[in-house]
Amino acid sequence: MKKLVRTISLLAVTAGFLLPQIGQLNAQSNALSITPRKDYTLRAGEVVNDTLTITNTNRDSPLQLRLSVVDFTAQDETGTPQLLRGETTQKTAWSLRDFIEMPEQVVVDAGATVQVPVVVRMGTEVGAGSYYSAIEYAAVNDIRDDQVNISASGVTLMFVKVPGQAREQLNFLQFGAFIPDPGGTGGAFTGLFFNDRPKVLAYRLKNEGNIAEQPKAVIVVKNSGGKEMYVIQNANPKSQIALLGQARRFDACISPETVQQTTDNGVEIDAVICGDTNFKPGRYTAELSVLYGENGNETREITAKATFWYLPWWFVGLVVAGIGLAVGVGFYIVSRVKNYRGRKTRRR
Amino acid sequence: MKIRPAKHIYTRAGRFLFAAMLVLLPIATVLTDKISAFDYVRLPNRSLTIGDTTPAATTSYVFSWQYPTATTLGSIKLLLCTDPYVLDTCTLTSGDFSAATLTGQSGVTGFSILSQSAGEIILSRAPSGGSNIQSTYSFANIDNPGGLPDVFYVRIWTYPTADATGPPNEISSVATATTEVINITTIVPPILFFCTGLTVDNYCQNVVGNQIDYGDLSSTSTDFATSQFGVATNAVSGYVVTINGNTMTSGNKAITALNAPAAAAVGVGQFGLNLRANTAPPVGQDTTGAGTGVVDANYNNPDQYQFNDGDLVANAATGTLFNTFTSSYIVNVPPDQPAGVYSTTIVYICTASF
Repeated sequence: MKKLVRTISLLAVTAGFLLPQIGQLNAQSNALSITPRKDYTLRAGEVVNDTLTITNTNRDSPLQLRLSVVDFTAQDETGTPQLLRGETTQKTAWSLRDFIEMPEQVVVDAGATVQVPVVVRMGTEVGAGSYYSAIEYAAVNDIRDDQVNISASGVTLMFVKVPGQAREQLNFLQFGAFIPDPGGTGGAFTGLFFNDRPKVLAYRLKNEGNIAEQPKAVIVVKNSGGKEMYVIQNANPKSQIALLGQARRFDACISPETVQQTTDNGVEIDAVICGDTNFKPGRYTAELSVLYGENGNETREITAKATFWYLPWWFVGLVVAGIGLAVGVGFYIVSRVKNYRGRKTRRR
Repeated sequence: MKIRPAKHIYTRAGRFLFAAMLVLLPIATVLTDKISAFDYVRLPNRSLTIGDTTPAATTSYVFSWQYPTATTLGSIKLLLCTDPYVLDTCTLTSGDFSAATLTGQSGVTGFSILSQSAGEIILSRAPSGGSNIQSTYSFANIDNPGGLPDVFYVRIWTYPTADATGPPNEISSVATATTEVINITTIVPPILFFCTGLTVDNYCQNVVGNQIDYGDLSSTSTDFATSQFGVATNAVSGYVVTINGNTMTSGNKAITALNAPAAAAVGVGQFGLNLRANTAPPVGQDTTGAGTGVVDANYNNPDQYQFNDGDLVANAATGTLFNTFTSSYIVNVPPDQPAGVYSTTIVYICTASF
């Protein structure tokens, strides 16, 4: 009975969004703003009623959306989700597809915002661990079969954590100074810096447990004399996640800076960027400490050390010149001593 | 008379040793590392269980760990900090130990509260030999940190003395977190702005068109067109944009997609795009806007085009103001391309990074 009431309620909400808009769909919007991520902590059998906020930012045309729950996994070692789209796609072991209830279609007036109800109802038999899927908001447009059609989809990532005794296992893969590529998705570990001072330290962890881990890490950078140069108190400042089975790279700015900006429509943005460091030429050691562990679960710790050298070319040149000078002086002294002994021998 | 070999050898050896000293001595002096947190013994099998994880709740805390050895044990210090690095200055959380009571202990026992404050508790007993067994210490009436749900830590120091002074036996940290059913991670809700069209303006307020008409495709010239998409977000983890769909098809006839970056070539089957201003053909423009979004390397080369279903085309590593990206499409067909009406649907999907 409860399920019937819920179904009727959802249908009524869906109709309420659709019916007044049917006559206005000649021009469609492909412009939206959404909540990019939702996180829940729910026990088995627990229910949460929430809303999804969708804004049609186009001031001229209504926005018709098709909503669907899509599983995702990690595309690579970054935080790029790989959506497993397609109705025939098999559910992942961490899928929320059976636990999310929401309307299948929504129409949003030009310039309007709607709150779409969503119910997350965890199964009574689910075990402790992490479950996640994505809600895709696909703009519905007229499709012409003689043209290239362009369409927009936004996605909200949904994460649910079921507390309890879960298997937590992060394996250490790599740690060291890192040079990210301009796109930010790739890069290379390196121990030698000849041009620019190092700005980024990175560590790679493999998640072998059944909880999507959001590790907390601290990195301390010391010079060759043991003096602390930098303490990165939060080496996962963006609260990034290692999904189940993912080998994830976490980048940490040695000298992070938070830049605050405000958009034209008043939204505040905090961006984390890597500021310049003040390393002098020499050898440095970085110590990594990663802790993770849910409430009541064993706290696990990963520690690692890495070294890197900052040797700008001007410094290398100075060192080479200095060694050359010292060797030259040494040869000169030895030569003078030899000549002196030679003259002494001849006098005898 | 010949120079004695010993003297000759000495001269060469002397020069070599002198030069080697100049090089090696400075290197040797920098290879010595001082002691660090890594050198301390840890407490294995440690955990912290909180009764009620709601922020600011008054609740029970149960600490559990195993002593690695049976060394003399006299006191335990617990510090409530925002980070776990035990040799770093402890930044206290808003949690409160000051009213805590010790309600139970097992394993290595005999402790009572020697002193307590908002961020610290010291348990003490008459120093005596311990045991390498799992031990538990339960407290009541502790206030969780308030504010937004977050991870926090308790640093643990064990001492052979009764007053938590002198060199410690072991040092460790335990992690736990406050949580809500619906976890709010920032005070300002995260928002993702995204739009696609033939043209888009700042923050997607005016988006025009969503269909490209190539007209008649030619084997003697490259057909080209553009569309745009725009993105902004205040999510600190940034965003990614992917393209999804198939190459242009007419029934079971297809125009070959460029699976790797390649230049436009007249008379060869090609469908691809990039996000740059090009000269061959003259189409497109570079990214505009005040944001920090960047184009993926495979789509970031002028006059080089590519198309793969699911490819990443643009991303931002952190929160960013609005950027407008222009997709430049090219289509080439060979002279023997089967006749038909060719079309496709390209879906741009924008997702927050996790």
